[in-house]
Amino acid sequence: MATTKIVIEGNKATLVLEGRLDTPSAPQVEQDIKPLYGDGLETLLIDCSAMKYISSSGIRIIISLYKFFSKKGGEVIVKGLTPEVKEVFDMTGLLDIFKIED
Amino acid sequence: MKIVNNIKSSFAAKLSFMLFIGTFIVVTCVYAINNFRTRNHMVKEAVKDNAAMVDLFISKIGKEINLVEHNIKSRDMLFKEYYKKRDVDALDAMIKDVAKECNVREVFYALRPRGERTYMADALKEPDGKINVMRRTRNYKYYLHTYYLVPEKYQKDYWTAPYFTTIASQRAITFSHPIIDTTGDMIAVLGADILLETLTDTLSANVAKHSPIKGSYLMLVSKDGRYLAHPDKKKIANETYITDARENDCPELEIIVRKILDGESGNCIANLYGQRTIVTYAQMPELEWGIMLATPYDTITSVILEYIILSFVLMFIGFLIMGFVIYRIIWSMSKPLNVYSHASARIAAGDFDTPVEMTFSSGDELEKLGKDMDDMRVKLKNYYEDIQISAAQRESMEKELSIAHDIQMSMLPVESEVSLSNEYVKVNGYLNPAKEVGGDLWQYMLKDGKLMFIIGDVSGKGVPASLVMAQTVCLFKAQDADSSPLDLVMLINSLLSENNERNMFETLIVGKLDLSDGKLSFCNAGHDPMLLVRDGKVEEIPMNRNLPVGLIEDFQYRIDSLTMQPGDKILLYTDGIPEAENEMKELYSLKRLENALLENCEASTEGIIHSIREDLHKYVESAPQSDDITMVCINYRKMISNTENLTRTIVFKNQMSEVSRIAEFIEGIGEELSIDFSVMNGIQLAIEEAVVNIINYAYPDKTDCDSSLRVNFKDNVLTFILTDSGIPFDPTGKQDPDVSLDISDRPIGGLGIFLVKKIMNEVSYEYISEQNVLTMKKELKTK
Repeated sequence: MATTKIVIEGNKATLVLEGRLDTPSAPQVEQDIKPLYGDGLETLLIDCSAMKYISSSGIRIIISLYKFFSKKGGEVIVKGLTPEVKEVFDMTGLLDIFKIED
Repeated sequence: MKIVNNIKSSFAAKLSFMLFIGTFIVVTCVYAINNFRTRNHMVKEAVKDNAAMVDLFISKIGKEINLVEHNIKSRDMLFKEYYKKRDVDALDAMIKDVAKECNVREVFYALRPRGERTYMADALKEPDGKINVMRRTRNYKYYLHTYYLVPEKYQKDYWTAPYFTTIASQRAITFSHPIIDTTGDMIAVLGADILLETLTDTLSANVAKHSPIKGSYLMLVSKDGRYLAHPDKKKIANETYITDARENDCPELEIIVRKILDGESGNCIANLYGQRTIVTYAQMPELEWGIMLATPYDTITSVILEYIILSFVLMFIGFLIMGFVIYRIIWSMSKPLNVYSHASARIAAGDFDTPVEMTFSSGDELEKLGKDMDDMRVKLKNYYEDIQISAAQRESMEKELSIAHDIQMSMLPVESEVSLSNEYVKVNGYLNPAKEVGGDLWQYMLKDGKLMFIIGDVSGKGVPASLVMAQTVCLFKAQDADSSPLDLVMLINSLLSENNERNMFETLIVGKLDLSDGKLSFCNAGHDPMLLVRDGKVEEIPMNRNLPVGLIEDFQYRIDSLTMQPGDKILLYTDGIPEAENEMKELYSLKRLENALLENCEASTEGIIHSIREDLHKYVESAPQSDDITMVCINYRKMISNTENLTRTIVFKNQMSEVSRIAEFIEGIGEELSIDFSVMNGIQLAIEEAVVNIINYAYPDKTDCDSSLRVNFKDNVLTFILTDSGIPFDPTGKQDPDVSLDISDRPIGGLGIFLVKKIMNEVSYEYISEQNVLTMKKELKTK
């Protein structure tokens, strides 16, 4: 199961994803991150350093966030990808899109 | 230089030149000898000619003198008659007649003086031939002259010595005949004067005209030693031979003249006036004059020299002409040689197509040579073409042989690469053929957890051996995991024995190692036994040796077995190793091989092979390799546990909560098979995506429907088979999303199946018995 943590400071938000972001846990995560789809936020930092696993449902969530932020000219930064998750990002072409930080 | 080169390079010129020189030398020698003989002959001839001429002169002068003497003497009686009659006219007429008849200047008679009275009449012949009779005056005291005194005194005919005539002022001699009457008294002298010139000058002219040798000259000496004829006219009548000889330092002249005046005749060679001269001499009996015909030696020699030079020049010109003619003849006759020379140069340069020109037909050897040469050209041409064809054939054969070598080597594992290495077993081999196509072989294969291997040595080398070797390798490769080494050996034996007219045979070891329990079964067909390395010791594995394959068709081979423990190594080799010879023809030997193996028993398989190769190389040094060298080292590392060939199945409902259960199920398999976390992560993702697909879409209207996931692991391949009885759906038919598109242009979903395909090595879908069957395979990399 995945857990989420959201920190908002002014126009900058941080989303911390932990555990397994698989298909069964995806609906809950989607609920949890709704605050991020609000006005006033320009930059989103997704911290994946504690996320062990991601499936296509998780990828979908991240792509949705990216689309939302990029539409209004904001920025999404992905941080701390584990090698396994990074491989999935690579397979799905996300490494080329996101700004990746270690 | 050009001429010399021409002579050197042209056959005709060379031959003509040599003929010219040779003939010239021979003829010159003959000529020189002949000339020497000619000179001697000419000298002899000159002497002979001179003698004849001297005789002729003597007789000529004698004739003149006799004519005068006869004419005078024959008038004796008539004179007396006319004298008695005192017929002066008749006497005048008589002397006139005599003068007419003889070649004289004058004819005279002088009467014996009586007291004061003298009488002398002359019939004088004028140069125009008229004869006038004149009488001498009293003042002319003829009775005091020798021509009167000597006949009167001795009453004998008398020839005077030469003297200068008062009238003609010429040299003359006088003949006087006493007319004696019956009482014995001389009554008159009848005589005639002959001009010396009439005698000598004609002779000298004769000498100049008739002598065969120019330069000959005549000398006449009177009884008193004066010259009557001499080439130096000043000396005539003025000088005696004695003064002349002494003035000119010719003592021989004096001796010769004395001999003549003593009445001798003959010839000799004397030094006259500083010249060697042939002198022929004689005395004239009537007048007791000496006659000498002289021919200087030099004139003979110079005549000969002149002759030699002339004829030599002529001969040289003749030879030049002859040389040129010979050259032209030989040149035209040897023209074919020139043509052949060009033709042979053409043939030598590789032009076999142009025929040898045969524009002449001499019918001799040269024509035959030309024909033979053309035959040779045609034969060479054919031969050359044959050689070209066979060279091309050989080239293609060599090419094929090289291809054969490549094919053969491709049937064997490549030496340099690590042949097989996984956590259970490691195999390394080395093969070095002595010939391009060899008879040694080795091969291995891993099938269903079983390592099968073969090592062999076909009798003989080269192509036949390699064909048998290829056949053996093919039969080996066609085996499957269940077949026994014994079966393979028997099969190879029966196939090779059949129609084995060449008696080819092969030693083999075929083995099969079950990696799950280390059980090694093997069959040795006459090959060198394997060596076992266990616990730091090396030992020969006991086994049935059997017979090499190919000898007896129905030979019953026996199989052996051995249980290998993890860590054991076995070494297989062909006899090329123990039988390798060094330069001293000493064998490497099995003992040395065992020692080399023992020293390196802790090393890896490739390490062992490398060390043995080094040791063998050090031993053999530069001696040539006579046999193929092959060795194979197998290291049994670890038993394959039973779990590693496993099958697990999980049945799940179409509920999302099942995803976690399946994840746990997969995780369990990963742990059981000790699969890497990162690999397992991918598998987890792929299975989740495939399962979610079924849960979400297979049964749109129902819940509680069962689907199953079967997992099988075999030969390092994980196979997942997902089966559901929902609506037919082929996920593999779905088009992959374009992940290179900008994210804003991409649909959010559709990534699931794409990820499955990405992760799994093989994904296939089938609809069988109203069930969707999705098979996914993942190869695990060996550690």
